[in-house]
Amino acid sequence: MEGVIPESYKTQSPKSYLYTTIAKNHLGEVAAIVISCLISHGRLTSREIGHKTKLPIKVVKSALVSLVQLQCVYYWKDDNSSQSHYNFNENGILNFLHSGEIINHIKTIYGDDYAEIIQNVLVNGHIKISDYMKNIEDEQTKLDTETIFLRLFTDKWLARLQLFDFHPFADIWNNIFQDILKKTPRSATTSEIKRVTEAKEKTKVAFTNLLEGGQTAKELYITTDGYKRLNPNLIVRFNLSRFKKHIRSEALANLAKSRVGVLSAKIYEIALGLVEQESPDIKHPFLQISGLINDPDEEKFFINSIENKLVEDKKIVFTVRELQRSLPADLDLRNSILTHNFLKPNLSKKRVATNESPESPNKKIKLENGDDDDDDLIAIFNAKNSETIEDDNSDFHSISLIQHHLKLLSNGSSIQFLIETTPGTFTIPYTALIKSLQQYNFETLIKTTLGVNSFRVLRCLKSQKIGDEKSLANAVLLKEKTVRNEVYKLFKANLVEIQEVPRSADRAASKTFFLFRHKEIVSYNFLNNALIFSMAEILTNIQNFKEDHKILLEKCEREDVKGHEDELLLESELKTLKNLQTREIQNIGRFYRIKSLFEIYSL
Amino acid sequence: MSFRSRNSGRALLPFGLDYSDVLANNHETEKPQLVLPVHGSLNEYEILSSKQSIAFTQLMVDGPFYTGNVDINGDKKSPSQSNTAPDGIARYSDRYKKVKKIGRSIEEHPYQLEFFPEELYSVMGISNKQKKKLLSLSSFKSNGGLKEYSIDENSESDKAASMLERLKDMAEELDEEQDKDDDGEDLEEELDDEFDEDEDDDYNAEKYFDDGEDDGGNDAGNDEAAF
Repeated sequence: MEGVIPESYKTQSPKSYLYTTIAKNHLGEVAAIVISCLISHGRLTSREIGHKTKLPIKVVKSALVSLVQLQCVYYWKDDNSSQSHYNFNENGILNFLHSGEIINHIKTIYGDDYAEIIQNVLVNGHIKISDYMKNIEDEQTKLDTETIFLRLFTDKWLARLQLFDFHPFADIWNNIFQDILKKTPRSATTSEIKRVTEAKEKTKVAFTNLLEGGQTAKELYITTDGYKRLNPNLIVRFNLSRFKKHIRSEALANLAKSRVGVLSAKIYEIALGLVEQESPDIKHPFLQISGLINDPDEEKFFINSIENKLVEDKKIVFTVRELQRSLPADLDLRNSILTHNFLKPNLSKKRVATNESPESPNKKIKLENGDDDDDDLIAIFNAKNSETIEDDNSDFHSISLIQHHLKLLSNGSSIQFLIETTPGTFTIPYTALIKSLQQYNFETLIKTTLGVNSFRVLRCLKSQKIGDEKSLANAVLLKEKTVRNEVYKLFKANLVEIQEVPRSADRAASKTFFLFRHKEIVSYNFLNNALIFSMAEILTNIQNFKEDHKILLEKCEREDVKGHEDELLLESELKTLKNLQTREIQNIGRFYRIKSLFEIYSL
Repeated sequence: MSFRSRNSGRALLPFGLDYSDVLANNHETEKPQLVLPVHGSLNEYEILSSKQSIAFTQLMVDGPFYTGNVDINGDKKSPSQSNTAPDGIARYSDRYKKVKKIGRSIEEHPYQLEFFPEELYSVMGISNKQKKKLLSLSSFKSNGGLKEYSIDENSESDKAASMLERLKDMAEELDEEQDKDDDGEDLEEELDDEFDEDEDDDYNAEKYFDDGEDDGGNDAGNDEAAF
């Protein structure tokens, strides 16, 4: 390396390509070189970074200061060593990746002032509240800003920054574990395995206490003149895990929209918003420590136990009444679901003699929504008596209508979006839903890109677990040649694995047959890598087309031209600038669309 | 990859296999095999998110934690702090370029020292001076603060005006060139004239010889002897 970003940053992994490109765009080439080096080599000291990147040590340390400030690197210093070792921390880069959506989302929910604070916290990495207030002179503005900080902190968009946020979890765990192991003496009655297991359990408790520590009301809040404020000495950072929960809720609401209906999805979105803050983290810290939970069954059990505990503590549980109170005023649920009450004519109308039949049987028509898959929407459809006005339809947000929608979400389709724990109380089964979310999105992707036949073949293969051409052709009811072509297409897209089964000892090709298998995790990882690479390519393309117009863009950056572009630039130049801006906005929009799919497979 | 024709007897494939599937594929073009769905136009929310993202990137580039680009021209490989272009040539327009300050010391930004390793303190300029440290804060712009270009793309008068501008520029350039040529010729003529005059004056032998044509004719002086 000669003090430049090595070409290997593109090829060693798609994440390396994306993260290095983002670092280059936001923080400059030096930061990108350091990050690329840390991703390649894992853990290095500052001297080693300087040696490998051929940058002066002072430049490396200066870059590390920026990266530590913005939480793009972890560091760890052993007690018996004077040097600190640095690791790459993707949280800082992910903040940059999601920055546009974060700021826009906060602005949509809360307003411009809130978005400004979040923007400043993201730009500075972390902020001490008192330092922020020093920039404000007006007392009223100060009070308003403090209120905004309090609200953002209470809603968990801001979190307290603590020292362990800068250390890798694996090192913290190891440190605590070794301490506890030393304090647990060996004895003749207990075996070594038991002793280690005991130490592990104690470490889990200590580790959890450390992560949850520092959140007492005394440390976080002060009361002055009778009202509660955040402690001015508190140092806050943006809480990325809170935003990831929002991304999950958005993805689930979109799934409900496509599988159930628009109005039901709207109600579901509001229900998700009620429990989002307390919902389980996308990835528990224990799962980030490699080697701690190895067994897949143990992992599943652990994740389910977290969710069950939250349900027991009523943290992710909501009632219909709470939901009714949170519905927006402009959401009109009248006539959205026709219940059996519609079929009972009003008492007043019964007195009127009519030639029509007084009661008609409830006609239920099963509607297919045009998809080739098996899920049907059951819509209760009344052919007659549509003029009946019921109590249900007098209220925009009647409880019974809401309950019907919730029933539709829990039982109406093959995906169980809600679980009714007790009558009138619902919870969201996040773990099961994530699996369905990934599966249905993946299948829709296959259907739209590879075709309907490929989708059918893949579905049959999944149900059979493993199959050869003949059994697949019999199951899917397509010609063998078509099946062969579709399997080949799926194989090229890395979705199907081939197992060669020789029938004779000499493995003669004529006596060999092939079995096909689809593994979800492998396919999802491959898709994820492809999406990450595409995102990085978009960012590179943006830089490339900006580079093509470098002279014009540099002209616009001049101090004498800024603010006077209309006077000093030609009409054609202004047009070019506008086209460049539009092109950049379009590309970033597409970048975010690909990112939304990438987020689903990162859940 | 070579494709043998079906009729060639050279390829002896095992029973049950043939080349029909491979030959059936059209390998002539490099077009992508998968037809991907077409992107629809962005909605309002997506456009705003994109604008905020672009504005945020610019804030980071102009912010206190930008680490700069590697200057490979200097002897020391250090992030460039000057406003000279990467090619190293100093230009007049450099005076209008903004100089980016790379790195902030503790006197310029209120670092929380407890979160930094001690070996980085030297670079942060830890000193005893008690200067006022302020965060560099930015203001929020709902549309990202991007310049709005109000250009009527279909306006013919604009097109005509821009064409006219271009023609004017070309005409001015031509005039300038012509003027330069004219000046050049005048100068040459003057120079020629001067040279001609000088040559005539210096090497005109006849000017030294007065053959008496200009004399008025002096009949009265006839009594002198003539040579």
